[in-house]
Amino acid sequence: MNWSDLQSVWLEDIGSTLYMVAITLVAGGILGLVIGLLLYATRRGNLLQNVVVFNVLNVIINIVRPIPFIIFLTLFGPLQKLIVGTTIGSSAATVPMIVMTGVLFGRLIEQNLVAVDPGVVEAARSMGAGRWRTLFGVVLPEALGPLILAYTFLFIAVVDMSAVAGYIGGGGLGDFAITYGYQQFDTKVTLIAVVTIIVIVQLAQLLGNWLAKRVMRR
Amino acid sequence: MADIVTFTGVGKRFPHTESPALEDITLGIREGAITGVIGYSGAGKSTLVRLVNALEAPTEGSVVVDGQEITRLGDAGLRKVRADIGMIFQQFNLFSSRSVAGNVAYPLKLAGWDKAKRKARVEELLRFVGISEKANARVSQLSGGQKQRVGIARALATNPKILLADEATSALDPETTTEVLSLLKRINRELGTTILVITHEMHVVRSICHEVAVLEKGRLLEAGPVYDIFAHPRNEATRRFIASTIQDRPSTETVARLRARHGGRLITVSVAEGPSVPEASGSGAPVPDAAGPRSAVDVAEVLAKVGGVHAEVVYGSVTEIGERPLGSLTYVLRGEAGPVQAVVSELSQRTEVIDWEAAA
Repeated sequence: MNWSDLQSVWLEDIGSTLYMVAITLVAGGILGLVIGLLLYATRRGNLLQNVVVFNVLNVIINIVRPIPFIIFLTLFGPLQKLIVGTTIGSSAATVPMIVMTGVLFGRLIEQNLVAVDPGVVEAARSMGAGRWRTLFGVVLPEALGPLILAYTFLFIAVVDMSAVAGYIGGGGLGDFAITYGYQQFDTKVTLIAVVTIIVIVQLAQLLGNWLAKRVMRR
Repeated sequence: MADIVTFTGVGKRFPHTESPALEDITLGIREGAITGVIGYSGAGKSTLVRLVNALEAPTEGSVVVDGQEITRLGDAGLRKVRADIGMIFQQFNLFSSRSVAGNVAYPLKLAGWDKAKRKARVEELLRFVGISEKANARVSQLSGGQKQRVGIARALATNPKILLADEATSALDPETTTEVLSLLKRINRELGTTILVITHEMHVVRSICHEVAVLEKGRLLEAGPVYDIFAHPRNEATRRFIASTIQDRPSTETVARLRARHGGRLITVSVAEGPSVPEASGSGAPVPDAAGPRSAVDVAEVLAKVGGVHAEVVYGSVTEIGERPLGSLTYVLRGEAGPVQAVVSELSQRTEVIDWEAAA
């Protein structure tokens, strides 16, 4: 296949990669935020201490995270059918991506929130700030810089996931590299896909670094 | 004046610990005074003051703050009480995500002040603590002393009746410490704020406190007006604390050196006034009672009365505590054994005397 034929496929796959990444980052980001805040707040001695919630979440995360993503993807067949109606295509691939991203981001958020100085939390409490107000008005803003970096890290992990999702029919640049590069013994095409991914990742990293720097320069 | 905080039989035991953090504490904090809480680390000082704004709950006894039994309050009630109690910290605990002005405005925001009123109040507070020019600065750009000033402004924002200071000067250099201490003194004097100061530094107590409570291993050893505790400590631990800040008597090594150098009979005469009676007006400064003042002037009087004894000051230190002198002078007495003994016994009747011959 020559490049002029492939070009439109390439562009389309860039589109579906960005589509998967965008949906996953938004939905997975929200899921991760909920998980991360709950993990932080329900920890022993914290604002909303709750041993049951903490342990359940903690165990779920510890079970999900070590599963290789490509195997995790295949486990999701039934759920994908239920939610999206099919196991093939970019939309279907986002379901396991969102879950994995939520779990990953949840842990990252928890770690960054735990690093917030407990003294600052105590100061807010001593002024009469309620639990929720302390969590959203003090703890979260205090950790904002590192959280932006964590989110940038997440972006890159999600691009990576989307490429893997291509292998089981998820579409996108991963699919492009496998179908037209690997399976056609055309290393050039594989390289093009790789370089495209690298460029996307670099742009994201630059943006993330710049944002975090702006927030942390205070 | 009445007590604004009352601890009655208060105990605090943290889960999974062997000995209680606090045990059977009964103590009143006088309204309008600066009270120091001293003790070595682990004595329970921090826990004690955190009972006042209910950051910790007692496991026994009751804590009454401004007429309210604080242990019985729910979450909403607690938030209200806390708004009336400011707190400053050793590590300042400022919000790095907010500017200086933003930090000071935060408690006002919690209290529901509108924007215009907040702005005016923040300006006023920053002027009061002397850092108006830093209003828009980031917290990370400030020096330690400036940070603590912001902490103080933030703690005072809602005009609290009580200010809790948890080792507020322990992270500061001596010069900055003096500045912050005089600021606390000014707050007490000008705003009438009751201040509770936790410290392990006796000089903090010496320079600003009216009252002091001494804690050791979770127990209250003694409490009272600073001068009385300094001049007449009843407890060995208190005595050790005092020795760390004023050398009110020579060490045994010093006595040995003095003896080798001068010969004669060594005595140390304390310079102290009698126990104080709190002033009725409640301005904070206690006044000496009728029994005082006792001082080193006695020595000249006694020497003149007995006659034939020569006295020389060879060692001493006298400092001012709560605007009254406290310390000791060490004399070497020379003369016939009889008159020297007469001087020592006469002095012993009038003031506290350490006779190093007898002690040796």
